[in-house]
Amino acid sequence: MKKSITILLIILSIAFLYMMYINQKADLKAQKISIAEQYGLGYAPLQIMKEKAILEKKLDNVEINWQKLGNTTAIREAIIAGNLDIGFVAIPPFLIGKDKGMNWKIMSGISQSPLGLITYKDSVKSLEDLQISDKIALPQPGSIQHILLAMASQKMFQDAQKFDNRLVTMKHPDGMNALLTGREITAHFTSPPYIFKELAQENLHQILSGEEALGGQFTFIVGVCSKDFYGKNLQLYQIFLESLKEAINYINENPRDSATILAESYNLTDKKTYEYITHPDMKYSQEIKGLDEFLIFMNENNYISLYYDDIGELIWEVDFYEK
Amino acid sequence: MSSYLEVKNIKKSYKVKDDHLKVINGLELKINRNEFVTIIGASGCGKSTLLKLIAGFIEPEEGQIDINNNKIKGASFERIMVFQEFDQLFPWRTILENVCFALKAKDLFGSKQKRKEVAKKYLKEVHLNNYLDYYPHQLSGGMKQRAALARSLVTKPSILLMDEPFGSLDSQTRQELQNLLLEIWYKEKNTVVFVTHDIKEAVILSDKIIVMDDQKGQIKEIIPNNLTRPRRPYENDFIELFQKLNQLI
Amino acid sequence: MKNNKIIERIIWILLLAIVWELVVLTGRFSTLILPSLRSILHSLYLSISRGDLLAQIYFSMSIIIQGIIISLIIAMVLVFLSLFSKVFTSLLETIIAIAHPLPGIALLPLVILWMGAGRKAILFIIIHSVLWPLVLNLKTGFQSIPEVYKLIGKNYELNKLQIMIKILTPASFPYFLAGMKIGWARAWRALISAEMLFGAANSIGGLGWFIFEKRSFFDLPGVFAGIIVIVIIGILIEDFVFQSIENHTIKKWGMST
Repeated sequence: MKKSITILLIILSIAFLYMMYINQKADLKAQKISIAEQYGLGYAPLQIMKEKAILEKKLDNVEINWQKLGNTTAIREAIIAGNLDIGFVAIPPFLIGKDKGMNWKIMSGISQSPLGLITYKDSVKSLEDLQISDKIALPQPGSIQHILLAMASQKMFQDAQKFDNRLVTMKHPDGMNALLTGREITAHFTSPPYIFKELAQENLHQILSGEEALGGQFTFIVGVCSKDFYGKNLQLYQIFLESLKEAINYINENPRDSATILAESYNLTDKKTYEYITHPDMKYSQEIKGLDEFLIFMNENNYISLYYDDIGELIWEVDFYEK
Repeated sequence: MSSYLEVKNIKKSYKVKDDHLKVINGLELKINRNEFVTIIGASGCGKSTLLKLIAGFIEPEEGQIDINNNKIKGASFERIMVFQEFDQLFPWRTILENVCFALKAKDLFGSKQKRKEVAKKYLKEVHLNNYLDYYPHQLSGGMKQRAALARSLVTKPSILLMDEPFGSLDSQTRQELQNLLLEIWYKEKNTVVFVTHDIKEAVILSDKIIVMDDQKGQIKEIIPNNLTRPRRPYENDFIELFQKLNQLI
Repeated sequence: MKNNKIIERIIWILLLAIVWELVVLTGRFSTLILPSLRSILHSLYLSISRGDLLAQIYFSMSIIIQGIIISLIIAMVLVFLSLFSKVFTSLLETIIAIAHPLPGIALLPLVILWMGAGRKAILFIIIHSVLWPLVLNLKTGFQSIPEVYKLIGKNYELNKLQIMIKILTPASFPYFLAGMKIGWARAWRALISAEMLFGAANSIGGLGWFIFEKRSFFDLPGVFAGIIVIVIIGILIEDFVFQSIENHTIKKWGMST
């Protein structure tokens, strides 16, 4: 008797959870759009979009919800939970999600960016000089920084996993502090603005760039959305993409004004911001570069088992794809 | 003849319930070897404190206690105390191990095997030979006190100090244990100082009854008890002595 | 634990597993949210057969055991000192009042600053979690020892050290064990949380890192596999190790607190 009551309770609570789930879905159908980004100069077009209310001007009666999440894992989870329509992430985390069965594709690229492995040890000139005891800080396993490190390691030592046991996960600011104090970690794989700040320090130098690791240029940040959003809100989707284009064009055409707008949110001076966003390796564009390189490498080294027959399986708008 | 145990002009203040301070004031007492002495008095008269002083658990503020004309210093194997509390046995040791503890502490008999044999012999004397491997919590109150008695006797102390050891037992068990104690005392011939508030118990057991005065902190009267053993509470002499003591307290 | 209790528990777990699998089978939930038990067990099997998981369990357990042993030694010293000095007791009580209610994770930013995000930091947090409940319980244990035990110790001419070892230690054992149980539970939680925050500061990392890594690679069956391992270890330690110590000591002695 007791048992059957308990089982009933379990089933009821499951049913309840399911109802909540359904409700969430219903909410999404209402006119509302949730967008998540992360912190960093790679996301600058989104700041412009926000500050200049580009999307808002085009969309009446639509509630726009901007979120800043701490890492790509959180973005992935929020999309699955139905809390998020559009997320901005690097290519490897996108591929991992896709590989695990997330029904999402890339909408557009937004930025290319210098990435680099920085160290304070004068004796360390390349990956080869890193000892077993030397720890490397990066945001998390499976991040673009991790995959780039694995690529370089594969090229140099034919062992993609060589450094996997020497990783310390740290957010960029923590990683920078750890590097500056010269304790605990030897090297930090980072992105702008931290890479610029670190390289400005006299005692720090770069031993590996993202481009060297991958063997070419690649898109740093892409916008992704799920099939739910794409299929049911095609109009919203199009409007968002147009706004993104507008924002990217604005940065490229008005770097000075953009720098002024961006400086505040990055807590930098206008001058520094201008310097950073006009850095020759810092490019804002909708192109998607390096997708195949990441995919093939990650597939061959068992990070994912995903492959594709048609690039349309990975990208909604194939126009942006650059082989 | 000089006495075996001599308490000389002892002074000691002590606390009774509700933190009320009382004093033993210039107490004198002499006890002979092999004598069975009971100390009685109203509660709070200092009889337990006197016993602790003799045991050496506490020090007098003035005066001294001599055994064979030697001043005692601290507690000793020679003066073993049996307490009223049932948990004077260690709960984490079996009955046999509890008795062996005393032997081991005094480092007697060299081997563990030998110590066990001796302990068993004493446990047999207190009729616990069937309970050697029981833990204290598995025994009744009377059995626990018997085990405590065995532990106290096994090291052959010259003086046995007993602080109302049967005070928490029902009357039938108490009677059994009184008989057992006398039986053993005939054999072992320890000097026994037995504190009780039970007049009947005092009359049954002892050679000499010491009545304490709870006001002055001294001995009120020492009454020799020469009734022939075994003593039976319905005999006239017994009743007479009982009444005499009853009036004194 | 009694046999029929074990069987009861197994039946419940099986029932829950069946409900789980049925819910998955309805296909109402994406496997990204609710992976099937089969995929979870498969992932568990893979992680174990590759040896990583075992090494990570070993890492976690070794650090926790080390933490508990160090805490035990410190706790003993603190409590013994407090037996001899009133001033020290009052200082110790104040420190306990401050430190005991403080969750170890709250100290994390400071700990990272002082000793970096390595094994030492995790160890520090474990010690913090275990030490205070242990000290509290040992102190209570010593205070609640019947006076008569100490008198017996004196009577049999034991010195202070012998009294400590032969009488005070076993007499306070129930409290010690209660402290260890609380300490273990707190250490285990602190360990997993700290590992998840620090990442693999040391070579392969521990169980918390296992889960974090699986999450990073969006391997949900792997996350569940890690959780299952944590549950199993928790049950093993709490229901079997502590239970059997209890049965062989304080239950046998009739000394439950």
